[in-house]
Order: sequence, then C-alpha cells, then structure tokens
Amino acid sequence: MFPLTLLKPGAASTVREVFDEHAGYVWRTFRHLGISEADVPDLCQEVFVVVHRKLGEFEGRSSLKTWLYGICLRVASDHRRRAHVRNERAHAEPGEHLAASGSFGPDARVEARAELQALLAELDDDKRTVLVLYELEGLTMKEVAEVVGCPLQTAYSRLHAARARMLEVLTAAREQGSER
Amino acid sequence: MSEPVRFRDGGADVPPELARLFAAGTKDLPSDGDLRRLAARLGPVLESPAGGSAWPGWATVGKLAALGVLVAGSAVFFALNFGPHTPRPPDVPDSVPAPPEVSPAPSVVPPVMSAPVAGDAAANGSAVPLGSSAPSASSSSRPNAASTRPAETEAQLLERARTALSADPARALALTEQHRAHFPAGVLAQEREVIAIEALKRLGRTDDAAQRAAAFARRYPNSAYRKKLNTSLP
Repeated sequence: MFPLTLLKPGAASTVREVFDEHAGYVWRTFRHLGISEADVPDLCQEVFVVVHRKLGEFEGRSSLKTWLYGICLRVASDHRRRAHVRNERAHAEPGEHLAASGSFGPDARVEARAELQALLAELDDDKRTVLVLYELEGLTMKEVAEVVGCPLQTAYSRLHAARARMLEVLTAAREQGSER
Repeated sequence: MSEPVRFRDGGADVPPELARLFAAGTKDLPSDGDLRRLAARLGPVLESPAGGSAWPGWATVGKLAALGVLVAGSAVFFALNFGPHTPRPPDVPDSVPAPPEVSPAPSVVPPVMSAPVAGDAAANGSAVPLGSSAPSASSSSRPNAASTRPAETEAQLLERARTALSADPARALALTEQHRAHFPAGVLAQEREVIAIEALKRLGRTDDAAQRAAAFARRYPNSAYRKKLNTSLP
C-alpha cells in the first residue's frame, strides 16, 4: 500500500522527503501508464522539478499522494500528446504472454511487468489511468476521481469498463492458449 | 457505492492470473540504483525546502549567476551556478547531436519577449492559452527538432539549453524557443523562461531580459523563481 503522507499547510518538508517517500511510486506509475522504460527517469525528474516549484503552495487540501499523482498524470499526458509517442504502449501481445504464463520464470519480475503492461495496453488512457490508480496504486475511488478530475460516478464507470476489458482479454488469451 | 475487491486481492470472480499479475505490479518498484541515479540527476533540488525558497549555494554565486536554473535533461536537473566553470554532472552524456544553429534576433526584442510565458498548465491543472504568442523570428526556417529528436523530452531539450548557456547563449535562447514551440503547455515552462532570461542577459540584452522577467512575474506571481529573478536583474 502506498505510504500515505498528509502534508499540512506550513509543514516543514523538503523535496528530499517527498522524493524518499514517493519516488518509487512515481516511477512505477509512469511504467503502468505506458511510458517507455527509457523515458521514465526523465518524466520522474519533471515531476520532482514541479514538486520543487509547487510544494510551497501545496495547501494540504488533498493528500500529498493525490497531489503527486495529479502531477504524474499531467506530465504523462504532455508526454503522450506528442504524436510520435502517443501510441507508445506495452511491447507484447497480451495473448502471447498470458497464454504461455503459468508461473514466473527466472526473470519473473520483468516478465510479469511485460505481461501486465501488455494487458494495460488494451485500455484507452482514461480507463487505464483509473485502473492503475485503483488497482495498482491503491487509491480509493474518491481519490481516483479527484486525481483524474472527473465525477466519482465517471471514475466508477471507467473502472468497471477497464476491469471488464481485462477479463475479456484474459478470457481470449486462455482460449488462444487452449487452441495451441 | 462500494469499491470492488481489487484484482490483487483475488476474489471469486477474479482469475488467478489477473490476481497474480496485479499483485506483482504493486511490488514492481524501481531498483535502489534507479532511484539513486534519479536522485543524483535532481541534485541539490532535493535538499531544498518546500517551494525552493532556499537554494543551495545561492549566496555564493554572483549576481548574474543568481538566476539559477533548474533543468535536468536526460540526466541532471538543477544547476544553480551558471558560471563557465560549473561542472557538468558526470552522468550527463551529450549523446544527442546539436541541432542546426538557430540565430536569434540580434538586437530587437524577439517575438518571444512579447509572447506570454507559455503556461505550465500541467502543473496548474488548467489550460493556459498562449494568447498572442508569436513565432520566433527564426521559426519559419527552423527545422522541426521533433523530427530530428523524436524522443527528446522537455527535460532533455532544456538541459541542452542550460548546457549551452555558458558557451553559446544565443543557442541556449534558440533552444528555449524550440521548447516553447514543442511544449506549449509543458510542465517546465517556468524553467525555460529562467534559462531564456539568463541567455538574454548573457547576450547583453538586459532590457529584453528585464521585460521577459516582468512577463514572468505577471504570469507566475507566486513562482519560487520570481524572487531570484528580481534580485538578479538591475
């Protein structure tokens, strides 16, 4: 679970403290949002530059966690907006990975990451974002809606659609595997 | 409305494969080495208090250098000392070839001066119109940098600009224009403006620098850089 920190107005905090507690999650979020591994460090830097600039203005109306995720989403969105990276996605066919996988192999972490990213690549950005924040980052749906900037009901709709798509892809992968 | 059981927690209607992958995903953090390298790139910014109100080494740099710029590229982001002896972080390869030179307008206030500072919509969470921002004087002849550097990020482009400041402020200024063109709502708009202002100063265009700094102050009245800009300009 994401270590939740609530910064109150005027709380003494440095970018270092924010980095130490959250950098790993920022990094992981970019991975799950479909940013290529090569670009993740640069986007993480952009996030913490924004944190440096904005932390003094952070009023603690939301948790630091949701504030940070909001920055991540905007940085990722800007990154995707560029035409040549817009379609940057996971790198494998979900059917291939899922049909062949039974347990993690020697390079289990990398393999599992590729499988998961291939699955997530089946979603459009809106649904993917909601799914990642809820399923992988552990935000509540209220927090998800806040970060994404949509009504709670919309966030739920996107989550349900995303989950249904995941199950659909998985089912197709199973069928594909059974035919082999 | 109740929240559904997360995939990673399993449940009757969650296939084991899905639970397994999502559980693994929640544990898939970067390595300690990745985070150390990231911290090294960020450099002194990590030690700054909230809002960047006390930058390391600030008092030690000269009035011109006091502008301080943070911009990290593929590697490091904060460089407070603009002096020619400022060492470049060791892990900043300049592997990307320089773009074709772009000559800024020599004496008149360039269009970028009159253009509003491009918004950091991303950071503010709101769309910021660019208003009447005019293309740079050289924009018509400027090659499309995106086509030659398809994967270059905001940070990388601005790091090149920052790196060029000492030896070639005209090029640094041109690179900030490229940034403005390619990332009109980029999150590093403030950093771009700080570099551009410093470049103008180094080119001897102090009036232009002052005008641009004033535009910066209007656009970002609460910016952490504003005070530093105020103290660095006549």
